[in-house]
Amino acid sequence: MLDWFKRNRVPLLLGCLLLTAMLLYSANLRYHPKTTLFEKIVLQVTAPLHEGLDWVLTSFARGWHRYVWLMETEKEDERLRIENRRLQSALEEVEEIRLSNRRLRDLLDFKERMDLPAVPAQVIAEDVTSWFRTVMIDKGAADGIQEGMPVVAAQGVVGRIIKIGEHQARVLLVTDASSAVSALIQRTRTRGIVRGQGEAMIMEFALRLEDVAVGDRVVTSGTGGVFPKGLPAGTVKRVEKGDFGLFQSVEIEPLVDFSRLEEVMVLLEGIP
Amino acid sequence: MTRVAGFLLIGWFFLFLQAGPVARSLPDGLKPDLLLLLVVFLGLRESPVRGAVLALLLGYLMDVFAAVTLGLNGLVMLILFLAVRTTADRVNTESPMLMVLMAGVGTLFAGLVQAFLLGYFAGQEGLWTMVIRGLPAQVGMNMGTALILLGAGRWIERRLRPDLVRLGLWPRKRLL
Repeated sequence: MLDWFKRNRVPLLLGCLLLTAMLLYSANLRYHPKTTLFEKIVLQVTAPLHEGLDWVLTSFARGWHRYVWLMETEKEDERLRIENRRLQSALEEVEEIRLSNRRLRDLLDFKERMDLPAVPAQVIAEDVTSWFRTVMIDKGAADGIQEGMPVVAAQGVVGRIIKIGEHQARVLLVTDASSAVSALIQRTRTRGIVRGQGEAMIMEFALRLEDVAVGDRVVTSGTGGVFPKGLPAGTVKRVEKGDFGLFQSVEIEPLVDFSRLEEVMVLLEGIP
Repeated sequence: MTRVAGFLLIGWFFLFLQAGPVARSLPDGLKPDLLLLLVVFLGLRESPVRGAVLALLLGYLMDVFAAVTLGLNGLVMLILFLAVRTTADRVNTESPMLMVLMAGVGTLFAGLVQAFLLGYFAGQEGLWTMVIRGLPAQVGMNMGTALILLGAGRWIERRLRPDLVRLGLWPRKRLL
């Protein structure tokens, strides 16, 4: 018997490992809204490394860019080129500040309109896979953020907090396929559930006989327990009504440009 | 132990690249799965037990920076490693082009496993259909990335290997 175990110890070990992985996944499926200790530790340990490496790479990219640029200037009048570069860089900086200022002003206006306690945050990383739509923000438990809190941008709904570290948090975007937001068509008050589909979203369970038209604005209904009522979620892009069935198919274009998401606001109290 | 730590460090660096610089410079929703390529490499070159533990840990590390449920990528990476390891004895693992081919087949296989787990275990229908829809583009992206990484790795081996071995940053045995 012992010989058999010794002979088959590698397949047995691998089998045990596979079983453990399956059990862990299965257990986490049940309790997934909670951030596990393992995740908290990894986030805590890697946060300074991430920041450091980001700084190194950004500096390297900047230095490399400058080197390439300088190589080109050899062919032309150096003084004019350097002057031109300095002015261009100053202009770009001003433009960047102007854009950032506008985004922050929009966000501030939005915060004042919302009249809810909120924490501004910067998007620092995206999801590492192509399948899921999540982003990492630079605020965490130390800033009063908790799992389930809604995240918004000046244009509208962004998503909700699903994982938190001490100084970082992960946001599940509304475009993720596992995200569902209770919403309604602003014009006709038709209710439905908005689900993510990667780039776009669809509204499920909108009754077929209800009036929904292309261009209609979709807002949160406030009944899902996460988002406050009236937050803009998107506009209707396409409506498909079959001859049969209870519901119609409504495709929604998000108002927030998720590929350029930089500043967001975490609402500390979801439903007022 | 140094080897395990080295692979974990490479895995973490790959994750950092995927979450930051790579994600920012590529179209939304399409990025190379560098960790999957690392697991395929482990499947072709590592011992079964060490490789399996590494694949599982790398998958868990990926879970922290992706998705919702901890364990999904851990399980997927472990299954992928075991599948690649099983076929590794039957193919010529010395062939560089095999790695590119395995990157494509591995992506397809991992995608199908992930779709299965999401659809049947987690009951997330929207997600598994999205994974299946995005698989062809992901296969192309990963094969292209594997080709680039292979080229870079072979260049390093040809030019810098003796110095890196001396500094203890590269294994004595030829990698690629």
